[in-house]
Amino acid sequence: MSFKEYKTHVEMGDTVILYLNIKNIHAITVSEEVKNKKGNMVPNIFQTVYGALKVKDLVGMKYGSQVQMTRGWAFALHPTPELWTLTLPHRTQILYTPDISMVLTQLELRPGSVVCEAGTGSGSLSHAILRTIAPTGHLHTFDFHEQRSRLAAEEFSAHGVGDYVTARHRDVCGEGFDLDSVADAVFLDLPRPYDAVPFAKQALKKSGGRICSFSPCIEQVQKTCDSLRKHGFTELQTLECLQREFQVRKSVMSVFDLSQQPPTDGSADGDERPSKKAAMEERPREVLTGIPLTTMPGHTGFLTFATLPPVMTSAT
Amino acid sequence: MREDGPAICDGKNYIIIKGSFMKLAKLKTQKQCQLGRASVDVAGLLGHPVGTQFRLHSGGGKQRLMRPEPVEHTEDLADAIAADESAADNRNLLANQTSQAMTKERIMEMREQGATGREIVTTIVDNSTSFQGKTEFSQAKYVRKKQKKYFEFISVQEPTVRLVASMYYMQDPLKIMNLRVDSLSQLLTACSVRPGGRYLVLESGCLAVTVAAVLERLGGHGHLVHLFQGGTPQRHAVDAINFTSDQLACLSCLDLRTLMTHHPADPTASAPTASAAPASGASPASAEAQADKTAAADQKTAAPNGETALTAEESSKPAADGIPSSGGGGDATPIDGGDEVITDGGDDVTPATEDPAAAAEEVEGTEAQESRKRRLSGSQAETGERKSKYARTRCEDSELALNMLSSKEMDGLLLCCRQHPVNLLRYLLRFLAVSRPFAVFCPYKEPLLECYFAMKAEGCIMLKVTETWLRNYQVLPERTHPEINMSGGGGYILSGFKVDRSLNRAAVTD
Repeated sequence: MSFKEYKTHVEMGDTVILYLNIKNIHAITVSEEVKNKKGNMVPNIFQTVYGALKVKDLVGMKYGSQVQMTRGWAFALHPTPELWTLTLPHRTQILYTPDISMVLTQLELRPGSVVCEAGTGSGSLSHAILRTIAPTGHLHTFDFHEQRSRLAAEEFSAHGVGDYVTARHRDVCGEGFDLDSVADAVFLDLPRPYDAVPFAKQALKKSGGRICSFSPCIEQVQKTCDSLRKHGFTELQTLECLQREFQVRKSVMSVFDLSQQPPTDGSADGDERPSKKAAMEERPREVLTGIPLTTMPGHTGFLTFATLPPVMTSAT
Repeated sequence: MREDGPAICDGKNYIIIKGSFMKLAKLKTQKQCQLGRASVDVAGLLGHPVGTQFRLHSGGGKQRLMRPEPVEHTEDLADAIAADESAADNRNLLANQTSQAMTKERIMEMREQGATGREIVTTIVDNSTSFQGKTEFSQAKYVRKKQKKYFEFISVQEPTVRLVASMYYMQDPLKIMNLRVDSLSQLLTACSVRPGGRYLVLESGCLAVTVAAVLERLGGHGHLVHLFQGGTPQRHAVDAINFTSDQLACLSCLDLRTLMTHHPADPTASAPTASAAPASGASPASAEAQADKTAAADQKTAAPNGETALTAEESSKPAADGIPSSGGGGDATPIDGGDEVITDGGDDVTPATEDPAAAAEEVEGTEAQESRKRRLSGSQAETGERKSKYARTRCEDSELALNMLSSKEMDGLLLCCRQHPVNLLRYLLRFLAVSRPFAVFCPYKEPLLECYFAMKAEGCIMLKVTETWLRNYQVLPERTHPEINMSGGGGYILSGFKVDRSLNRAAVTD
């Protein structure tokens, strides 16, 4: 159960992150056999560009070590929620680490936090939340899609974090969270988050809490902010954060030699002969640089955060 | 008296929020809390639930002591002050200095007489000849702008990493190396900080923001070694947050020099130069993939020339006032008399208070002055009311940290220092376990490019240098757009994983 806490060696049933190269990372469940497409149990052999890997051979290996395969090798990494986000099976569009990071910090999550999440989706954010609120917190996660809700619950259980989460098949926009004053934070990633706002308010503790709504479309954001204000949420903040990665390289640039006089052998009309050109260039320079990748994520979604103040007491 | 959750208590730290202005204060009864020009009667705040919003009522007189009253909702005057008419657009609006009949002196008079913010803003609006000629949106904007100046609502919040880091960043980003909140949040996930884990954080010059952030995520489970260079470790953010003693027990501080005594860097090392790693010459996107496949990358280029004489690089700040001992209370940098005036450059600040340091001087009560004197005279940890909350003495701390690091099995390595990180990163990598992540924050990109190649030479994988683009939005009906000003940058991060490259044949252990 390698998601629960760090371990040093691979055991049967673990999820191992197999790293071949930056574009080839896979999450593998360590088992002797695996069900194939026809539904039969077959030996668990994972095919890669570097050859085949008998998955059961991973058992006993130290996490972080190299794994030999027929045409090369890979690394067996210990899973983390961040690596899981990069390798999990997508059942929906997921949240990536830059947004997840901001959510965890802005919702002030820490061990002991009680969180409501709707929808569960593919469980990308859920795993990050679980890591952050364990061992004393709890995650209530909801999805209106029955199969997704069930698959997520199975995954949580297989990953050893089932005790910290309750996954429910429920439409929170129509039916609410069925929770009263228990949550420190609520996270909404829904088509109509504004419908869930009053239920979110009910689920949050009387001592107040934080809320986040993630929406790709600005219309959703506008309606949500409107609803948040109407229900007494304060400190509204809507933002976008996009991560920009740099290609780090040592670039070699040729340098034009300005000190040399142009040759005066009569060909002053600017005819370029290769030898003349080469003579005008100095020894090339090596430049250590990081340039952005040619494309970068332009938009994931707008994050709206707000605070629910504590309920007024009737004292003094 | 209170239904749920903690109440605002005497002697604890809180973040007071007034509009976009944030201030950290330790609330003490029989004292006032300075907020810009005015001061708030603390007694009126105590006992109410943390997070409560208060309306400030003017006490009148030159002293401007405000009396807080808890409220359920704050008022947005733009909704309350409706004009009889407004224009469709601004075609007839003339810009001149004569449209406002109220003078500054008259407004000050009103304030002293105890007029509410609403009364003042209403008067200003009524005395504006151009108000009716503005569009509806423009009127609302005008009222909100005036409201900001005479805004009389505050909220009292529990200091969390989110609020403390945002506050420091707003006050002066350079004080925390331009570590913006989103960058901070990414450092925590890049190192996969989890409760129960063991983390090594080298931080200097960041007001202990990263230390506090990791500590918050540990929540009393696991351990954090705060490595510092010379003098005493910074404690600002750690002290700002009301950590329990259980949570603080997870933190131990260790001087880098002490660590080096027990685990010397290679003594034959030369001064740090740009990394000697070979140019990859590969195609852009797969630079790393290419390198992974080459045989050269297999060999662990244990680069002795990379290890350096660290003593040359350290900023050796002389230890302040001798060696403070018990409980590390003397190590702490206490909040100046509980009154740290932080401004957002807003309207409320008079010229006299624009320099935060000067303002702090002005508003210090006698107790604060005494505490400053005690620190300056180099006396021991404060006694009496300020009980030491640190579990161990400085020596015990160092010992604990050394023991933990000696196992060389840390779960995460985080660097956030003012010094060039490359030699520090090379040196500290040995304390990180395999299959564990590291992250380095730097306000500049270039040092991280060097670190990238240095870590590549060490055989690390998943190396990534990133920055984040962050933009806030104004969301209002018919007026939604990105905010006019945005942050230009929030620093850069290098992250990666340490692995073991001695080829391990998939040995079957059955």
